[in-house]
Amino acid sequence: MAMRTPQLPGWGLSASVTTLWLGALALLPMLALAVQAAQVPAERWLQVLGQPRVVAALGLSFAGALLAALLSTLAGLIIAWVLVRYAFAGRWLMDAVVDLPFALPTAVAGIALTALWGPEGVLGRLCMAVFGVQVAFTRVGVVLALVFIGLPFVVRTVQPVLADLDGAVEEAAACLGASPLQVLTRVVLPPLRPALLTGFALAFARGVGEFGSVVFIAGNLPGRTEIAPLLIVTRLEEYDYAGAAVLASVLLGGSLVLLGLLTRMQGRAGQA
Amino acid sequence: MSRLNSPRNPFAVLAILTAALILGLLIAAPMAMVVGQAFSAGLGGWWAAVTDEETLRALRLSALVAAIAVPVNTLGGVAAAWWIARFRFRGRKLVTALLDLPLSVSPVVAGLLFVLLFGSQGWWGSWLQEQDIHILFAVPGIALATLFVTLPMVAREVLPLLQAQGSDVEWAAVTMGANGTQLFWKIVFPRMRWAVLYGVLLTGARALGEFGAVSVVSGHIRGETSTLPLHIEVLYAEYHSQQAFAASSLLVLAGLLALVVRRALAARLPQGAPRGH
Amino acid sequence: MAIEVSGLVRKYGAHPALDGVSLQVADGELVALLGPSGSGKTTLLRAIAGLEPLDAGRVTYDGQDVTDSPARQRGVGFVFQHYALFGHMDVFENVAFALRVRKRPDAEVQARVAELLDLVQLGGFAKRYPDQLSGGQRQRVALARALASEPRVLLLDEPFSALDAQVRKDLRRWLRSLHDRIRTTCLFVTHDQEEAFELADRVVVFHKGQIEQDGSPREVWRQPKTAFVLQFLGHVNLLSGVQGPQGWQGPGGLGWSGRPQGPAVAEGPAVLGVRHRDLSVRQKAQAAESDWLATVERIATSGWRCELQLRLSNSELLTAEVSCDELDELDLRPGDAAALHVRHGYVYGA
Repeated sequence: MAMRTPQLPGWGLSASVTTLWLGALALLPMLALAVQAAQVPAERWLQVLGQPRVVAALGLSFAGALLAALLSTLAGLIIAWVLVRYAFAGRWLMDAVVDLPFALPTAVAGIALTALWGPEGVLGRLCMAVFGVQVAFTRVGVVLALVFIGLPFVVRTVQPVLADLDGAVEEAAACLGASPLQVLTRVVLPPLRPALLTGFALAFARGVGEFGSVVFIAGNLPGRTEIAPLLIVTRLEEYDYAGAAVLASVLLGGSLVLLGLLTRMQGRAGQA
Repeated sequence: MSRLNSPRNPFAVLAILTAALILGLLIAAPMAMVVGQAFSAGLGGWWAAVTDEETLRALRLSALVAAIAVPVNTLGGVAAAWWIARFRFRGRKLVTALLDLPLSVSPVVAGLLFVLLFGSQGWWGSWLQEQDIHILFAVPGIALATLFVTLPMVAREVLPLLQAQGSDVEWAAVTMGANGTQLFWKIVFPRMRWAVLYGVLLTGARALGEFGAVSVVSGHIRGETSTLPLHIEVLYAEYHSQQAFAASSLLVLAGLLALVVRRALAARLPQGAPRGH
Repeated sequence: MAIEVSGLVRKYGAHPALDGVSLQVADGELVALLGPSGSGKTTLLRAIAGLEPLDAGRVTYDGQDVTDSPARQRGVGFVFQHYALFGHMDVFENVAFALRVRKRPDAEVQARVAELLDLVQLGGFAKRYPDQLSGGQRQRVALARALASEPRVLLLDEPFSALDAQVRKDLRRWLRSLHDRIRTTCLFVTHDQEEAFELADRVVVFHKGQIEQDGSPREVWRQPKTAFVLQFLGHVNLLSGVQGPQGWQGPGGLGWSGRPQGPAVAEGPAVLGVRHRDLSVRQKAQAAESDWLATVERIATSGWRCELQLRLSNSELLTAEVSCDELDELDLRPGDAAALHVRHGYVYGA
């Protein structure tokens, strides 16, 4: 008789605890959503998703998260670059500030951003005076709040990869005749692409479902500045479980699909 | 680092200034606002707001919820990390996917899940009503929603550590005769304790500060089911800015503590930088 | 292309990596920069390439001063110690890089890369990625890449140090034959004395940021200019003593009055260097008058070579190297008394 592969102890205990824990707290609740969404007849799905208010809310959440993720990726690259490649007084402070959004609970971030960029706030008034643009209670505010929470994801994903780049590779490129711009575009940025993509994906996924940081600064005007999560809350308060479930499924499904696409793009790029 | 970027070329200066501007306006400014507003009535004003009756009640509720979430998710997280890292079994991918799921779910959707289970029109809604058991709009509901939202935080710190550490030391202990309990308490846990600590801090900070999910399940009943973040929302909505930010400062302290500890532990944990929640 | 550097100084804080280095390399020469780590040889190589900012000194190519011109304008081919291949590009694009950044037409690029890959014997590897190659293959890609732009000089920084012994030997031979074929001026850095001597037309020995000796391998071996060079070349006994009117004298009555190789030494403290192979050993019974008396402490063998460790009466330990056949004839065992005769000695002022 063949011998079983020897195993470390604890399989039974860890398996049963995990199964119970995940089963009750993760699997079961997700099943509830899946079942509820499945029970909604197709016409109801179409009816819910056809409402202009719903379209606007989903559009704002997805498009806002997309735009914010793009801005976060660009800004995040610049910040990661500065932190890794230059030495200057106060760099440690800049590095620490990047982490601050992780320390703020979403509601606190939300009201702080609103107080700052609202019509009474310091930056809100500055923006109005200089650019004539109102930030709070507009879509601009929504994107701003989403960049606030998405930016650190990009910086922290890109930073280690950038720091690991071998300086010799850039010297080699220079010796081979590449101008500084060519060194940047052909040798330095390409290895960063996977990290940038990952950072973008993290920021996007987080932004689509974000509630506390955004709901205060958004203004929540149905059809204009109402984010999808808020609409879900409204539906629940109206006891419209079906409508809420439909919205939740689209929100969740949409971000999972997009994440899957991005992961596959990553895989095809040939980098681990 | 490349020798080709001399530290003071004009492009560098521009980049540094741009980065400083972005970080300053976008991130440092709101932080400064919280601190500034919290103490805008001086230390006395801050203390008064923090020790206000309703604020304290909200804090106690949040602390209670955190005190439930942390042990449960630590236990589950360590068990899951051990199971995934050290064994091969069918369904491993599913378990890992389930573990990562709460992070991809909007907090509002997280709350919704429990409404679907326990709400008046939910799976068990009518049965609960008959039994006069209150899950939603009461502490159990808040606890469950918070548990969901903070579910993988300890596991996400411990799992990569276990994978990076390898099991050689553990095998050595087993061949020397250690049983499961001895193996865990003498070998495994000591090696993972910093990751567990950081995970616990993250879980605690998030549990205290969770807003979206709790907002959905709590009913906002002031004094009874208002956690600290919900209470802060109410204060702000009622134009009590200073009190709102003073109460916020408590949550911010918890978050900063987690960050500081992370930096201090940077050497002992495999990932390079603080990860989001 | 001929290279000349004069008076190069490069400091890191207070520490001088290059301390006034001057050197001339003729067109087509293959020169080895040899020395221990930290001696400045890599810094000099990088300075010649334009990768190292200098505190003083000039660098000229064929009489033209290039000191202020950046690396990418100098037309050097540089091969890095760990190859520095572009991991996100395949072998073809790596080798083609120099041509691509000059916007050469595609047909030209294809032809040249194919030619180079054949030259380095990696013809079928164009589509592979660096992480799919062995160390030796990566090294050859790095060389092909450096050669793509038809550089005026080829600079190699410890090109074989990261490779297995056998691969190293093969690549060494291959590099020499490549050089004989393409005749580009070539400088390479190594800390391996054997490698430097096997490959180079000329060896330049570095020590603490300065050149200690510069000459053909044969010259350097027979006439090491300083005690450092002698000791760096290895397998040598060094004894401290004093140079007097009758010759060198060491502690415990040791004396040597033979004619030292190398320049005359003034009276005063002096070091006597005797190569292991230059110390001949006999039975005590057959000792000549000037021989030193010693006891055999240990005998070690590595195949045909035998090494004896001998303890002098003044308790210094010396090593002598003989062929094992010779040793059998001598019939010496640990504990026996022996007599030592210095065939060639080098004396340097201390």
